[in-house]
Amino acid sequence: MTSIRRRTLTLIIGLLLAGLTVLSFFNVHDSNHEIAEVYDAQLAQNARLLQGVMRMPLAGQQHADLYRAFNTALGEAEPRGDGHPYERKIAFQVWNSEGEVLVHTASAPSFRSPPTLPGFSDVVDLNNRHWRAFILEDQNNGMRIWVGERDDVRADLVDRIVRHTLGPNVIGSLLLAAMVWLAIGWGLKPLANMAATLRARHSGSLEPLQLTPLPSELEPMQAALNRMLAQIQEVLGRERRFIADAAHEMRTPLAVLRVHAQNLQEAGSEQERRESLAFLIAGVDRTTRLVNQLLTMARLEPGAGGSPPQRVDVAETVRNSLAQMTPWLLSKHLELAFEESGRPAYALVSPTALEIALGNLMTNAANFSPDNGVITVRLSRTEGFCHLIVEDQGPGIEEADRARLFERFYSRGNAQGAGLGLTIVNTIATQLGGSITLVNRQEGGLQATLSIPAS
Amino acid sequence: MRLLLIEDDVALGEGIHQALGREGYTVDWLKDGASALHSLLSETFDLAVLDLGLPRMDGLEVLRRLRNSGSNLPVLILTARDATEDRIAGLDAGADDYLIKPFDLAELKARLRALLRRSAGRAQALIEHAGISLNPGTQQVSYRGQPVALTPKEYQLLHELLSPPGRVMTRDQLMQLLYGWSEEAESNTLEVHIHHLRKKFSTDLIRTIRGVGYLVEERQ
Repeated sequence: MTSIRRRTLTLIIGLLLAGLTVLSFFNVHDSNHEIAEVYDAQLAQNARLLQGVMRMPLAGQQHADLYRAFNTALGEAEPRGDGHPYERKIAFQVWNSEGEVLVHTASAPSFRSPPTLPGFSDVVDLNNRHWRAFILEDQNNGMRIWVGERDDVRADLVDRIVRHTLGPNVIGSLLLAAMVWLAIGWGLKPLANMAATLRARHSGSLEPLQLTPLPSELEPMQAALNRMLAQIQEVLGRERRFIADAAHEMRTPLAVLRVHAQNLQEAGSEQERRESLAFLIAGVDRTTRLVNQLLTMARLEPGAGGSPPQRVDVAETVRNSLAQMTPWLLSKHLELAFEESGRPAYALVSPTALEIALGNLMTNAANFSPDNGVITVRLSRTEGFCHLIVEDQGPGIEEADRARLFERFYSRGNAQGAGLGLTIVNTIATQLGGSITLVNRQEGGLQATLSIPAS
Repeated sequence: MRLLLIEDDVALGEGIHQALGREGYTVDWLKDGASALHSLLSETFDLAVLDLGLPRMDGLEVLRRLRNSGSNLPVLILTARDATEDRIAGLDAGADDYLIKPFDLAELKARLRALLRRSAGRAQALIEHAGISLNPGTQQVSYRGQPVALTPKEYQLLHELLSPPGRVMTRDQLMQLLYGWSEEAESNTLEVHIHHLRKKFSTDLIRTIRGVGYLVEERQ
């Protein structure tokens, strides 16, 4: 699992370490250089001091004393007592113009010949030791003064100085990292608070979130969550209403079944028995129809899946559908006619939805048709729309009923219907961006027109 | 006993009609609220079974208008609306009882008997008067301890006259209560039934009030 805190921290500490490393590198480099400069300056100064002393016109014994004093002062400097840890042993030797050694410290290296190049140089002695040296040429007095110190000694000192500089850097970095960790935690607190609030909510609660104060970064998140909660609430509400309505609508058909079953139990004659049985079977069929229609309704709910819309030849779909219905219509002594304009009619629909809509319109037409009535189905095209028209020769609709016809479970006192047919057609029409209209025909009967956008 | 069934569901209405008819009720059946109210206001019934979701006028509205007209007719609401608020609304609108679909026919019949009993001012199930004992549950009648065989119409007529005794029933009322709309009756049928009842019990059980109707006296 990725953690914002860990991610941010890794990034910040990484950058911090890289920055510090670069800084330290330059620091150490500069320090090295500066220390070398200072030490070099000291070498030069010592050389000049030696030069001043060597120029003094002293007798032999005095010379020797002076040399010893120098030797002791420079060559045997020890970082102890009143000394300074950075004091170093310095070696020197002085040659005359003939190349004879005038004086030299005990630690001074031996050379095959006196080095000639004046100024600073790095040399290696016969014992393979590295030296940093300064040579002062005093031609007026015929002296060549060599002052040197061993590289390893100097390096040791540089090391110690660098260590003292870097130590605080490392400790500082660690402290900084700890503080950054805490700071990020503090900065992410609103997020943690939000998480805690969400966790503390009752699992079934769909109340909108009201977190205050809310940082502006979390506002879109709260808004999105609340939108989602509202959607869930709406869907749940619709579902609850649907289940309540459905359960309620089941009561009457169940009452029918129960009443006729009890009548059957108490039937006194074969005639009564047969009547009750017929009612029972009709009741079971009716209940089945109701359940089927309820399922169809449930499947039409948004997000319930179903076959996806596709570009459909409406005429062909309708013709196939009608072909399947024909035996049923004939058994009800009804005639069917299908008329189409001949203009191609395509629509972007789910074929199943189209068949369901047509099936419901046909069922209504059949239920209200007189014996030997004719049901005419017509398909026409206008600008942008396909119109599927179902005409029957039934009684039509009453104006008073019109407003309620599309209501769920509203049925025109017709025990055959669940009161869902037109609701289903209307739902399908609305989902397709079309409409359903019912008009009483002048010559009698109802004309139902399902209009859907053409594709 | 004449009962008005107001139910818009044809299949359910058929079933109830059949069951209550078999029980001895004279059942008249209407399928919408407006015509039900009209009949309730203009004709004589012993009972009404009322659905609530009706075309042309809601059942509750029918009930309210019926009670506003001053009618005390026992009314049982028979509906799919099962919420407590609906039951309260129904009872407060003037219903005497409230039964929810689906229901047990035996329970419906028992509740209807109870409503009739109460409307006749009795608490006991048995109707006992002047040596006659009539059991509405079993529809059996005895006189002075001996069972008496009655035709359904004779039983109904006796039941009407005894619910309660002391009321003068007009000829017209009795004809309506016995036959409702459905059955054709000869003009002198009622007199024939009265004659048979007098023969099976005693001649002075039923008094004829000339030009008004018939009466079973409260004290005999």
